[in-house]
This record gives sequence, C-alpha cells and structure tokens, in this order.
Amino acid sequence: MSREKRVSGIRRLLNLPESRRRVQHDVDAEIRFHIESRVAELVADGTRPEIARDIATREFGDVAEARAEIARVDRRRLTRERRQAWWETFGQDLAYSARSLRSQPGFGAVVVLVLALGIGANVTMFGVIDRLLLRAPAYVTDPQRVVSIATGLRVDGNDRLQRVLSFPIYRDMRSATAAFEQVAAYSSDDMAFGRGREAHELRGMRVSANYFATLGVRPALGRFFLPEEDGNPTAPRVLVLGHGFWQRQFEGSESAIGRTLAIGDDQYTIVGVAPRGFTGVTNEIVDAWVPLTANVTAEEYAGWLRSRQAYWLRTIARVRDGVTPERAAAISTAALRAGAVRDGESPQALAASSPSVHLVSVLPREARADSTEAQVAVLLGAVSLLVLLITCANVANLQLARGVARQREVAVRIALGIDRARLVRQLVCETVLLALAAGVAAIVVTLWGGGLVRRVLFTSDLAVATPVDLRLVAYTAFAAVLAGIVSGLLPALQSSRPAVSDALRAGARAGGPVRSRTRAVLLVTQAALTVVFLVGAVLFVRSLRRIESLPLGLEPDRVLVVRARTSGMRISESDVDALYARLLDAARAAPGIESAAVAGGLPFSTVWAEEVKVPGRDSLPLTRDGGPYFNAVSRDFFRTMGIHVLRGRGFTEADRGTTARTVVVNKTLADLWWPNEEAIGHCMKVGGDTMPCAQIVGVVENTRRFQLIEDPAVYFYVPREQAPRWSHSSVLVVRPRGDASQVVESLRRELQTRVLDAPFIDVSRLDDLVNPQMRAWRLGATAFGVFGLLAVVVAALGLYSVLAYDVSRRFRELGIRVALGAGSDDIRRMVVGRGIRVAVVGAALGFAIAIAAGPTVAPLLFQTSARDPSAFLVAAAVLFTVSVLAAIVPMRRAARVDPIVALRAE
Amino acid sequence: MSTEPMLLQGTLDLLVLRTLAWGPRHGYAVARWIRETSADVILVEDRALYLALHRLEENALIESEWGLSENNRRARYYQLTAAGKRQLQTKAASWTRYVEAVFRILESAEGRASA
Repeated sequence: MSREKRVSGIRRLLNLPESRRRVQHDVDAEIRFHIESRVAELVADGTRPEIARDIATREFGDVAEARAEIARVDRRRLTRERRQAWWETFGQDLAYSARSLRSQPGFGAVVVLVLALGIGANVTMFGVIDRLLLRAPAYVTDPQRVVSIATGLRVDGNDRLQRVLSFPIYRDMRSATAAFEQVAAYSSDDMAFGRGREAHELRGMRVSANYFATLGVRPALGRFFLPEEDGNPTAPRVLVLGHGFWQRQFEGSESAIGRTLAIGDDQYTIVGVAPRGFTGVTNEIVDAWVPLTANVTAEEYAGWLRSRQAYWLRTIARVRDGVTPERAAAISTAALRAGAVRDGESPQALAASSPSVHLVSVLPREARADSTEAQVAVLLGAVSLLVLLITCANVANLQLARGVARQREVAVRIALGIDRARLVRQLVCETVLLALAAGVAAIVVTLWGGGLVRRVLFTSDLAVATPVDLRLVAYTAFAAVLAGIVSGLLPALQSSRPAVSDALRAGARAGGPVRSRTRAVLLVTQAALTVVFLVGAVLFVRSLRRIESLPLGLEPDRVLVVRARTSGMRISESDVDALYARLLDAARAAPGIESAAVAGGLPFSTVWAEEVKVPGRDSLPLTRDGGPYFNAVSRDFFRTMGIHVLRGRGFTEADRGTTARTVVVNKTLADLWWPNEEAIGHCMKVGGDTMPCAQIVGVVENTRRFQLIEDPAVYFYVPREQAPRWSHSSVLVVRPRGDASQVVESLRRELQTRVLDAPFIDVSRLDDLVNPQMRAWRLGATAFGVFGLLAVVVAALGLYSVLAYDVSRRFRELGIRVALGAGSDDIRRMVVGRGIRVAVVGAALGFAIAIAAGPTVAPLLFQTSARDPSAFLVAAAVLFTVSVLAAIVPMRRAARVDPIVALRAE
Repeated sequence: MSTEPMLLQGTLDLLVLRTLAWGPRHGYAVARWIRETSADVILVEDRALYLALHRLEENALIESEWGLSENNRRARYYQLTAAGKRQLQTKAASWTRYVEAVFRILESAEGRASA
C-alpha cells in the first residue's frame, strides 16, 4: 500500500478529457496494465514468464468480452454525464439571462415588441400558406393517389382544359378500371329547406354513391350512401349532413340519424354525418350531401346520359396502386375516345379535337400552384420572412448597443475564466427568451387579428378555419427560436471578445470600429429592405387602383342579386318564370328600391349563347372569345345594372311577346358587324334563318361575361317575353336607393314575406361576385402596405436607437469638438448626416434589389410596370423623411452638449 | 475449498468500496488487496472486479482519474465519492448485522445440538 503513491500533479496533467472515442482505448490500457502488473509479480515470485502470462490471463477471465462490456458501461456513463452537464449549465444560463433581462425591463419590452411584429407577420402568412398550399385535404386517405379529372380539347388550334365533365364522359372514366380504383362525380347545388318565412338555405352537394369511398373518408356517425341510392330515380331520398350543419341544426345529437329534412318538395332521411371539417378535395363548405340523382326524374336522367356536351360534373378518381399517373392518363384517354366514338362522334372530328385526359393531383400545392392567389401568398410568405429578418437585424443592433454598455461586465466574466462558448450561449439565450415571449405575443395577435386578416383577404372558407392550431404553434416556436438565435448570435460573438484589459480600463466609452461597422451594415440592410417593401406596396396599391377603376360597363356596388333556391322542387320552367315575375313585383313594391328587373343570365355568373343570322351576310365575325352571347332581360335591366345605353333605347313596357321583335346589342357587336354604319334599325334573326327579324333598337356599353380581365365579346339582349323558349329566368337584379349592402337582409325578409310560398331566397351583392377576382391584388396591396409600415417603424426605431446611443457614447468627443469651436449646427449636421447616409445607401441597395426582383413580381401586377419610377420615388421619400425624423431627437441632444459637463464625466 | 458461495450478490461492490476507503488506488491494487487480505479465500475473477469498478463509477459511488503507478506506468486510479462513502457505511453496517444474525443462528443451532 505504501508503494501506491499518488502523483496528483502529473496525473492531472496527463488526465486527458474523456471522449467517446477514447473510452475503448482507456479500457484496453487499464486491462493491459493489470495483466502486465500481475505477470511482473508472478515473475518476481519465481514463475517462468510464459507461464506467468497464462496464469494472469486465466485469472482475468474472458478479456475480449470484458473489454466490450466495460466500454459499454463507460460510454453509457459518459453520455449521461454530458447530458446532465449540458442541462445544468443551460439552466444556469437561463437563470442568468432572465436575471439580466429583469434588470433592464425597458430594453426587453422593446425587443419583445419588435420581434412580436416580425414573428406575428410571419406566423400569419404561414397560417395562410399552410391552408392554401401545404395541407392535404382533410380525412382523405393516400391523397397522393387521388386526382381530379380534366379533359383537354383542341379548339381552333388552341388546347383548352375543361375541368368539369359531362355525364357520359364521367361514365367513360368509370369504364377505365385499369387506371382507377374508383371514379366519383360531384356537383354543388345550393338547396333550401322550408318555405316562405321558414325557409333556410342549405349548401348542398350532389355526389355519386362512391364519392366518400373514393376519398377514403369514414362517417362521424351513421353511414354514407349505398350504391343503389344513386342512379335510381325511385330510390328513397337520403342525405348525409355536414358536421357544422349537424351541430347547428341538431345540436350534435345522435338522434339526428333517421330523422327527415324537407328539401324542395321531398322529405330526405338523414343517414349519416361527415367528420368535422371534411370538405372533400376543395375548401367549399357543405351542409348536406345528396346522391347525384336525388329527385332527378327518369327523363332528366336520360337527358344526362345523352348530353355529351353538357359540362357540369366535377370528377375525382383514385388511381390504382402501382399505376403511374402517365399510364392512368393514357388508359383513360383511350376510354374517353372510345366513348366519343360510341356516342357518334366522327373519326375526323375526333382527330381534329384529339381529346385527352389530364389528371391533376388534389394536393393543393399542385392543384392550386397556378392560381394568382397562391402565387401572391407565396410571395408574401417570402416577404414576411424578410420582415422577420429586418426585425432580427434590428434586435441585433439593439443588442450590439447594449453589448457595448455591458462590455465591462463581460470583460470581468472573461477575466474570471468563463469559457467563450458558454458566454455566447448565455447571451444568445437572452434573445431566445425574448423571442419566445414575442412568439406568445404573436400568437395572441394572430388569434385576435389573424382571423380578421383572413376574412378581409381570403375566401370565406379559409376564414372560418380555426386561426391557431398545433401546427401554427409549432411553427411559431420554431420561428421564435430561430429569430432569437439569428438576432442574438452576432452581437453575442462580438461582445464576447473585447480586449479584456482595454474594456476594463475604458469603461463604456469605447465602441470599437468593428462593432460600429457591423451596426452600420445592419442599419443599411434594414433601410434597403424597407425600400423594397415600400416599392412593393406602391406597385400593388397602384395595380389595385387600376383594377378597381376598370370600366366594367355596370355598377356592381349598386346592385343586389336575388335568386330563389328552386333546386329540389318539382317545378316547371314556366312556374320558375312565374315565381320570378312575382318576386319582381314584390321587389318593385318594396320600400327603398329604385328599380328591379329579371334576367336569364348575369355578368360574372352565367351567360347563354345562341345562333344569329343577319340577312344578306354569309358569316358574322366574332371575337376570340366566341359567342354570340345573349341575355333575356325585362325592362329596367339596363337602368338597374347601371349599363349605359349609348345610342337608341333600352327595352320598355312595349317590348312584349306579342309585339314586333326587338334586340339591343353591345358596342362590340355593333362595331364588328356594322363597322361603317349605324347598327340601329338592322335585322337580326336570333335562333337562325327560320326565325323572324328582330330589329336592333339600341346599343349599350360592353360589360363582362365572367372575368374582370377579359376581352370584349359579341353580346346582345332580347326582351324577356321574346326569349327563346328554352331560356328561363334565373335571376332578379335589384337597385336600392342607398347603399346596396345595407339592405341585403331587409330585402330578403321583405321578399320572403311578400311571396309566402317561395323557397329560400338568396340576396347577395353583385360586388360579391366581382370582389373575389380582385383578391390577389387586394392581398398584395394590404400585405405589402402593412409589412412596409412595419418595416418603416422598425427601421426608424433601429436608426433612432443607434444614433441616440452613438450620441451618448460620444458625449466626450462632442464636448471636445464644442470646446474646440464647433458650432451647434456642425454637431447637428454630423448626427443628421449619419442618418441620411444610411438612408441614401439603403435606398440605393433597396432599388437594386427591387429592380432585380421585378421580373418575379411583374406577372402579379396589373397594368403597372415593376419599375414604375413613381413607386421608387415614393419609397425613397418615405425612407428619407423617416430617417430625418429618427435623427431629430438624438440631434437635439447632441446640440445641447455642454463641453464642461461632458469632459468631467467619468 | 469453498470459495465460490462466499461471493454473494452485492458483496463484491462492498469489498471494492471498502478497499478504496483507505484512499485512491488502481484496479490491480484492489484485486491484489482483496486476494491477499482474504488470504486467498475469496477469489474474484478480475473481469468481474473491473466490471464492478466501472459500474460503481457509473453510479457515481466512485470516480476515476489517470495517474502514474509506483513503477511509473499510466494507471487508472479509483477513489470514493461522498456518495460512495455513505454507501459504504450503510452497506457495511447492514452486512455486519446480517453476518452476525447468520452467525447467531449457526451458533445457537450448534448449542442446542450439543446440549
């Protein structure tokens, strides 16, 4: 025992840090030492060396097994020790950070505020993009195998994609069993239940019996449709409720199953409830699903089977496992062509149109990637990342300024031997803590304001989804930690390496050239990004203005659209006409109504086409968009819609079914068909040569068929009573005296009361049809505006804090300057000059970025150049003004420096 | 030579702790001390001894450091931790109680038989 001396000093020297790699090596060394010591002892006792080694090894036991086993124990211990040590120091760091933050609550509050703005913007955009593009349709099993079916046709040399199919084509698709496991069809159908004052709307969806099976969704309650409930006019009426409707109407009671709901003229038995939030492959909210052929008569069904050209069904399919999309498209294209031949299409016509099937994935990132809305959302997502970056730069700047003030503290800690990595971690910990607090604030803001943002900017179905869920919280936490690290790392690295002795001696005066250069770079970056946003905001606002001021030829904000939900009622077309006639009378008699009219079609919604002949002409020119289109309208239609009659007259009481036929044409028709003469007075044969002459009595302004942005088409109007027999009334338009949106509900109640046996009456604003088409631009303008404002505020704050800090740091220098004769104007110029320099360099850099990003943004703008000089001018002016404003307070302070006070300080 | 049954579960740990109670020593020294002190009654396979040492270290009852041996070779030295000292006290006390109890039983049985 006395021989085992402890040589602690040298031992400590040789004690290498343990690492996992060294473990085996150490274990081997230990075993070797043991065996050799034992051999030496045995030899010393007189044993022969070869025999001694044998004995030692035998005594030891299985060496190979021992070294593995011991190493395993050691590694386990090492891992645990390290983890413990890490958490321990992490806990210490957290406590340290929290303590140091508590000592400066003002600083913490500013950082949390700034980061909450940045993270909030980011999280809101993530929520939108997530809903719009990332999330697979809910409850759909294997959504990557589910596709929407579209057909491609070549028309006049142009390929046209048809996203709705006719019933015979749907049947062709069902026959392509080699490609698809299931093919299902659906078509939305707004229905209503109850009558008169008891009438309620019902957002209905007609679906084939296998619709739910195709998607692989299970009912929340009851069952979905049976095969025999579809395609059979005599089948009992059944329906499946949407979860939300079930909650509202039946308070989520299980006894709803088996009860009936009166839709139209029929009683429907409730057989099931869909799971909560199930909306199929689109985002449309559905109250009730009914079989595709529910209350369709045998004659109507026969009509579906015959009408290959009547496109009205949306179709989805589940591709067979192992069949590639290309193969499935090829198989179904063959089925499509075979079906066309069977339905009597000539081989020549088939060759000319060369129809094909296109399969579009229902995953939103593929199905919606082309929409302007999605593109704008992605752009804004990128922009919101930049906003976050700006706020990070700003926080980094604030931290840097604070780091300078803390130099002495840091220097002391370094002198006391704290490891630099540890110091950096502590400093980063601080910003991460603040960022997490900001994340919580951001979620609160999103809960409160995010819903509003979505309602304003997106379709109603996106707006109703819960604004905050687990995905969003997870993303927020991720964004917060990342923002904390990004904004904390640079300042931490900087302030953890002061020249210790210098800092201890100089106190908080020295800033160091490196640090102020970093701060200047951060400031300029902020300014540049701010300019980019401002340019973007101006460009989008300008696009929106242009779009809003497009002459539409009508006044959508003054017009209400009234429709009776006759779906599901056994009612003839003449009954529908009669119903609309009564509604028209009721609307005219209602208080506060200027005028009202009924029509067969409606701009932005429905349009009819009809053959027209003009005596003496072989062919009539059309625009690229086809036609001629027409609308059958009652008197007052033009006045109600605000469509200007350019020449001649609109329809009057005199244009009846019994009087001479009259027609009103739009400007495009008049200019195209009678380019060099007055169109009024000429004869048009609506419906073909065999029809009697209708005399043109007026020319009206062009309006729209469907899109805000579309080429004018040839379009004419006929009096309601002279319309072709197959065209019936489908809409009532009403022009109230005051603000149209104020009277929506009162008009609905008035009509429902006055026409007691009417089904549910739907009143909406014509604007509601138009506005969604402006959404992309509105989204861009609003978001860029908000982000731009945010960036301006944050950049101003950053510039202010740096200048103010600079002034306080250079008090002594300023004092010397004043003492040496610098006037207060010189001092002012010095401070403001710095702010302006940042603005100028930042603006230049921002312009470069904006110009580079131009081609990306250009397709999203409307009649606005991405290099619109006025946008750049506005952005530069705002930045310049804000920079000067941010410099004013520090400038005043600097100008008041008293050299005596400044020089005596410290 | 009935050495095997003497090494009950946990006994080796106790012996190792006891050996280290006098101060740090390396594994070979521990092995030799047990062998010599028990006068070759307790024969421990060296492999088991080392495994016990490393397990005790894993449980933070002992700690190790590399040092130089008496003949100037690198060796791993083990030393009791505070927890190890406490463990030794309680385990030694309970072991002694246990052995005494066993001993009493054996004694009294023998007494009655002889009476």
